[in-house]
Amino acid sequence: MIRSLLRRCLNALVLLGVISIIAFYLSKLVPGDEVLDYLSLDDSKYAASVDPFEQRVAYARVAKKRSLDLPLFYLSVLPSNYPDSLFLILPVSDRQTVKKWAQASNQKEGTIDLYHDLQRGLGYACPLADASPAANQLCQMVSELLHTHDLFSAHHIILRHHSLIAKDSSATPETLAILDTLNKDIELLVRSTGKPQMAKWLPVFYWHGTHNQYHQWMGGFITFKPLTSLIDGRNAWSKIFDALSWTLLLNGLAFILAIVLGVLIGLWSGTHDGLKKERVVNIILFTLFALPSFWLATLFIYFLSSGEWFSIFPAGGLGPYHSASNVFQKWAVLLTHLTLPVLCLALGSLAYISRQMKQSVVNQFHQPYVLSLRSLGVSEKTILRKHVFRNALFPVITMIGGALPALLSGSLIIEVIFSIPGMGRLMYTSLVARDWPVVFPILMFGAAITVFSYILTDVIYKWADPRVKSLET
Amino acid sequence: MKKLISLIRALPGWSSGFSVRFAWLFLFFIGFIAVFGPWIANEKPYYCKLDGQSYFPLFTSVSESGLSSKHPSHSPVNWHTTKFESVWRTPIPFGYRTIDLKAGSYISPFADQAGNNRFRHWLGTDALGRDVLAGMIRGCRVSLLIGLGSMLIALLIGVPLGSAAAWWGNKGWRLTILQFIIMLFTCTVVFLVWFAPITILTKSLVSVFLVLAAIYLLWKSRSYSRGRIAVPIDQLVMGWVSIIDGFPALFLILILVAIVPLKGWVVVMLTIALLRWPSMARYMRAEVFKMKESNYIKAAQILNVPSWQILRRHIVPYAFRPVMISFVFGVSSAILAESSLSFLGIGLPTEEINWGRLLAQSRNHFDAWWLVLFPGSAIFFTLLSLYTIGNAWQKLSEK
Repeated sequence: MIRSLLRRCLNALVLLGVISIIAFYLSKLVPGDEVLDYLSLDDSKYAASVDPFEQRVAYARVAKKRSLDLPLFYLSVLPSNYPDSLFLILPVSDRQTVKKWAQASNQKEGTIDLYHDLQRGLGYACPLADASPAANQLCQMVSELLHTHDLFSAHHIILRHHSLIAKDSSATPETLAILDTLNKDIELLVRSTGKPQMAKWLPVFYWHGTHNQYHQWMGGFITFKPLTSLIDGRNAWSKIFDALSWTLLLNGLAFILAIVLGVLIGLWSGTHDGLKKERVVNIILFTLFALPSFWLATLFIYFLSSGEWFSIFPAGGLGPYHSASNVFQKWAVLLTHLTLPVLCLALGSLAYISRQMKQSVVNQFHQPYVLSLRSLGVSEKTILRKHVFRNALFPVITMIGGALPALLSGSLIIEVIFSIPGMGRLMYTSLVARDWPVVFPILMFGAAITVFSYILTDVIYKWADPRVKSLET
Repeated sequence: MKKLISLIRALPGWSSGFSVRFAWLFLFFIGFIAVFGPWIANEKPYYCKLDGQSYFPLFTSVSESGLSSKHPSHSPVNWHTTKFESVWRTPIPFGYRTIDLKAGSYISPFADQAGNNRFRHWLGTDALGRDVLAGMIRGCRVSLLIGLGSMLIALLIGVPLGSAAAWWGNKGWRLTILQFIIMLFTCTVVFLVWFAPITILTKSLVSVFLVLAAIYLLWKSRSYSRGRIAVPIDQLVMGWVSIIDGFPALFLILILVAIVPLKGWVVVMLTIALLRWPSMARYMRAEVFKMKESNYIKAAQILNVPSWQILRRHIVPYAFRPVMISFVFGVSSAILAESSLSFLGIGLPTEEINWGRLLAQSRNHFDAWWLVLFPGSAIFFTLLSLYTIGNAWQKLSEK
């Protein structure tokens, strides 16, 4: 038992590892530049500075702080004409330009030299731009070059500016020297374009060790390293844990309600199978099962809390439970606010559970042991309570584990409708606001809950029914 | 006609009760509206006559501005207000995008609506003054397309993978060393091609060609003697299944739809299909496992019928019914997922309208009961019909 459980857990960990890699790559596919998202949080001066060199410095600083200047994964595969320090080039638009140059020229050293010389030019010329027109021109030229993907037009830009700056009297020897180096660099690249080299097509593998973004990201999840929310700068984990408690409360109540009521209704319908009133209950349950929870929620709000018909229940939120004078009052406030959401969440699963329970009770009554108990003169009540009930419960118990992830997904839309500050609503609001550092931890959290609830199902099943010998398939 | 009646009688569950028949009829009704929607609710008339000239705007590309330039005396031509000499309008003279400025937003069905009854909004208008009935007719099309489309894709992926996983298991599919080398070689070459400095189109064409060539070679070199190297198909397929099942489904759909830069029902459909194929594969796997033990399959194996033929002729057709049952339930869950997404306002472009969108608008305007009642009941009755049919079919197959 323990061994197979351990093996299951190990499998689950491997599975979570794969899931985390997929989630990580998804988080890298989101639109927009991550570093730019963080810039306004980490560096308030950034927006004010127009100097491209200073912008770059600030960008690099933030990228380093958030460890976004690392390679993505332990291993990277690059075409051999790409420079191996490609991932260190930031911002991403620069990286794209350098990539294009390297692709065109097949010269990785030459491309990197050109890029470094361009950066030197930026660092030298842009701070001087106000003082001298020549430096200003050089600064503008370099910025333009960094957005020019085509090598030939880049060469053309340099030639044009070279003649202009050479005429300018304010040009210092350093300016001219930088121009010359740039010219030399780019001529080298231009000369080698268009010559296909078979050897350069082969991919090269680079091993980065633990110094990579995925490692930091995943390590951060395991140790709950503070993550900054992009909207308000709060720690994402504290947001998530605040939200988690409400989700647990909501789902816990719904779960208990669904199971208790579902089992009771199922028992009743199982023992009254075929009667007219049972058929009516059955039809109602079937209808409840098909009722989309978000429609039920809007109906509840419209009829019971908007004041159009009644306003028995509050329409949303959790109410002023903070200002309650004692514990009872606090829970009274909370429970009136939670009644409708819990009902909406519970009714669907209730219908499902009771239908399953009914089926299994009916099946149990057809078993031969019931007949023998009856022939021994055991009363129907005892048969039901001591024998049928226990055996009929197995299928329902196995559903408990499987229902957890479904509840988690289902509560998202209910939380949004009733504006309960739980995980689902946090996920939704963060997603709409493109607050990715909050979205992906929630996704991983949900994945962990899902994977481990499958194990839970197996364990409960085995515990409830010792006839299940092996945990394997 | 007789044939049609016998076809209808052959529908699963038709004979098992009134409710199932009603469910089938309701689905046919929804399907009919989905197909002919643009010809039922459209601001363009079928036929109109202006200055003695006849036009068929709904069937040709005649537009309001085109008519205005042809008939300057009537300019500007408006489908609703221009006095045509004779006109034959659609039953609902509003398209799902038509904004009726005269009526205004949030008009109740029972409100005193201006103008004559022909332009009445029978189910009211939404936040922008669009006709709710026209929006619901559009919604039929979107829901059915996404529901059926995503599940068809899921079926096409899930059924082959699931049956292969169950049939060959972890040890059943063995490659000879030659075949293994062919596979390894193709994989390496395809990998290398993706790093070559050529356009993506060339890369894909070359890769597809290579893969097809490899499949041809593997097929040609197949032999009845078993090879040495086993391919663990079951583990591979079930690995992917458990990875996708490991994600919380709604969260993943939301994130995927938000990340993909394109908007539209195709993206929503593909995303739902991606998340639904594992359940089809698991279902198929369980079915094939059951069938594998039956005597007629064992007999076929003894007679040396190739696996491919056993699967195609003797297994997949007989697994059709149980798979179709899970297909019906799958369609309902796909429609539910689609309307949840639309309700949350994620996925479809903002000008698109469907049941979930209409329902969501009622949240900003609590007294708009018609926006709660009609779109919601459309979703509800569609789901209820699908559940009823699935349930009846399941009961039939258990007998």
